[in-house]
Amino acid sequence: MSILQAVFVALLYYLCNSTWGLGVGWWTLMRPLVSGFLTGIILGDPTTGAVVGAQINVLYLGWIGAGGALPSDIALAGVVGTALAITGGVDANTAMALAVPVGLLGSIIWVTKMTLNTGYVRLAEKYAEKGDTKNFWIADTLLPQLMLFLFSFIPCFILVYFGASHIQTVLQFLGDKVVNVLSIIGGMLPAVGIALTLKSIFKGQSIIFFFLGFLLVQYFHLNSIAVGFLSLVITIVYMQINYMINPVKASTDPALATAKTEKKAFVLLDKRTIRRSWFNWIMFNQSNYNYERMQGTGFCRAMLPVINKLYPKDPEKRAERMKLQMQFFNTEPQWGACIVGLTAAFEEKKAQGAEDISDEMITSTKTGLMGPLAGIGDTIDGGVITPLLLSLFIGITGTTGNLAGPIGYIIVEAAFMWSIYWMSYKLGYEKGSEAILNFLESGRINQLILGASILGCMVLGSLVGNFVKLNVGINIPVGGDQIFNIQTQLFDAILPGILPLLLTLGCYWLLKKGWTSVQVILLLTAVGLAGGLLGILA
Amino acid sequence: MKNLTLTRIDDRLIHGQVVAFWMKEYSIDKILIIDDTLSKDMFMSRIYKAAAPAGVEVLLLDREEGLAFLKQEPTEKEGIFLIVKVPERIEELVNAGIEIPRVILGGMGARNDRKTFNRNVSASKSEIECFSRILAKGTHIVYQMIPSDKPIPIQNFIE
Repeated sequence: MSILQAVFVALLYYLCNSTWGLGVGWWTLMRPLVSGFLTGIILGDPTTGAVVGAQINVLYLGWIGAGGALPSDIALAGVVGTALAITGGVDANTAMALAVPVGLLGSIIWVTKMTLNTGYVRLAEKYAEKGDTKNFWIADTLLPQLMLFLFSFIPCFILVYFGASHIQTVLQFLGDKVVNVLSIIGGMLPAVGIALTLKSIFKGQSIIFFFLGFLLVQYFHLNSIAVGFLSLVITIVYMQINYMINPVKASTDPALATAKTEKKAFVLLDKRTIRRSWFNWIMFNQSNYNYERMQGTGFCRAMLPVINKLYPKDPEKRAERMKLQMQFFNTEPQWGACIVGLTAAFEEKKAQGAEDISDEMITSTKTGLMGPLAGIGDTIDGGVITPLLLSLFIGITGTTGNLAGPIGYIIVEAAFMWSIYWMSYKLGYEKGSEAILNFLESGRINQLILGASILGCMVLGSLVGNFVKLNVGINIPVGGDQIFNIQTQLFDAILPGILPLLLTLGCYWLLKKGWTSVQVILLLTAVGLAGGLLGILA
Repeated sequence: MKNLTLTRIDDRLIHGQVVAFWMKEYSIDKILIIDDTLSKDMFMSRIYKAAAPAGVEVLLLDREEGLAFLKQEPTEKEGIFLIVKVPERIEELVNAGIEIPRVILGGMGARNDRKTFNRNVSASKSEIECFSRILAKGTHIVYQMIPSDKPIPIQNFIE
């Protein structure tokens, strides 16, 4: 690998974690399916990149980084795992076994960033004190991102550049036997990812569809696109029947209706200001993510266009508004965008002299709404939609590296997230808090979660046979020259893929019993090590 | 007296970590929030009720009602998740004789009167004293954002 290539790979890793992903970097660049593909482009082999990225991504299908809790750095695992696989010439399974420890190590970067970013809050406070909307970005974006760049670029460059030049030597030193064991372990690990996703999606009635997805691939040999469409039809039929049995009732009780305030949008603010506020939110909501205020400065950044527009010649008023809007705030950026829109509307009304909008009321509405919307957002975006789309497009990428997989994923995932960002913000700004409440009470969210869970379970089931690898290598001599191969003549003959299925369900059971994912990974590593060295597993 | 499956101090109450992690790990069918201000806020009550996952009931009660509810006889297979914003609510319940063996400290946001305690927990002086009093009553308090995190006893931060 040339120095230039290593520089680009390290730069890619920074971008995955950075604030420059147009609000969807977290959902696209960060996922190994995408970062592996992009690493492949840099190293001149996008197909292998997509295959390896897809494999690594199966482990992180159900990964949610909620509330600043991040158990593994999936971007680093994807980028470094793929880079080592391509330069080292190892298969996707071995790359997987190398990527996991890298991912765990990478979470240190996240915790360090979250801790140190608190320092920039102090600087942001100084700008707020002066009502300085112009230079606020230095504290909110420039400095934290510069620091993140150093923290990301340097370790990744070292890992990739020196790792790549030594991987061959290391693999030769280890010998075929050890590399084979690594490959066995890496082949088993996707079971943990699928099991983790099952735990977050699997709820009662959707559980059975996982097996349907599995069978469609194992017995009918349907390809992923066929599985996807068939699953969609089955889901719709199921939802229709479900609706006939339990019609969705909005839980709105007119007697409980809260006092409605007449609200007019676009009186003092214009469309351009609102668009800029929205853009600042999607772009910078976590540019200075920190343990003290979480998205506090990011929220203020989204309010700057509004504050500027309302108080262009009044630095004291701007200072007052900025200080108020950079308090502790944390929500799911997409679904929580309505809170940003709602706050813009509050600021607009307040500037018009509305007396019912006090600072206490703004803060309590913000902090009241941020939790519930994060709960809904994390469940839908991280818990259901993303695993569903990832499963589908990882299936399409397959083991041959169909580039429609990563590319299709980027397009569909980004389109979904941008739609939520925009619709949510608009709902909050134009229609206000009552509309947010009515939407939550309409029952549509639970319908969406149920439908996506069923679809997700089916597509997830279809991945088991192709991405979880577990083969028994025992041959029993049965007289003369004949041998009985347990794998091909027993398991493959009855139900191909039964071992991967059992392995996945076993992991699911352990996770349900309270094992952590790291413990399950360690157990599989031990099993793979023992089984591989003894020749029980092949 | 009711059995509490989980008890948490978290000022964002029902949010991502709670819904997407804790509720998946334990079988919960009731979320009990004890908060005097919220219980009177019709709008926020409806928001919390609407935002809970399907099949989970949200009870938003003031201190008196909350205590009365917890003193009722437990029903079989009831999974209650008690969430409060501040440690004082826990202390009152413990003092009133409610059994709370373990409290999970999730998040307490930064405020002017609070100092950073650990990562996403900030606490004022009086809140830290309150933690100590709860500990003295034999209730464990651990800092743990999500179930897969290692629980850290808060004595580590206080002493």
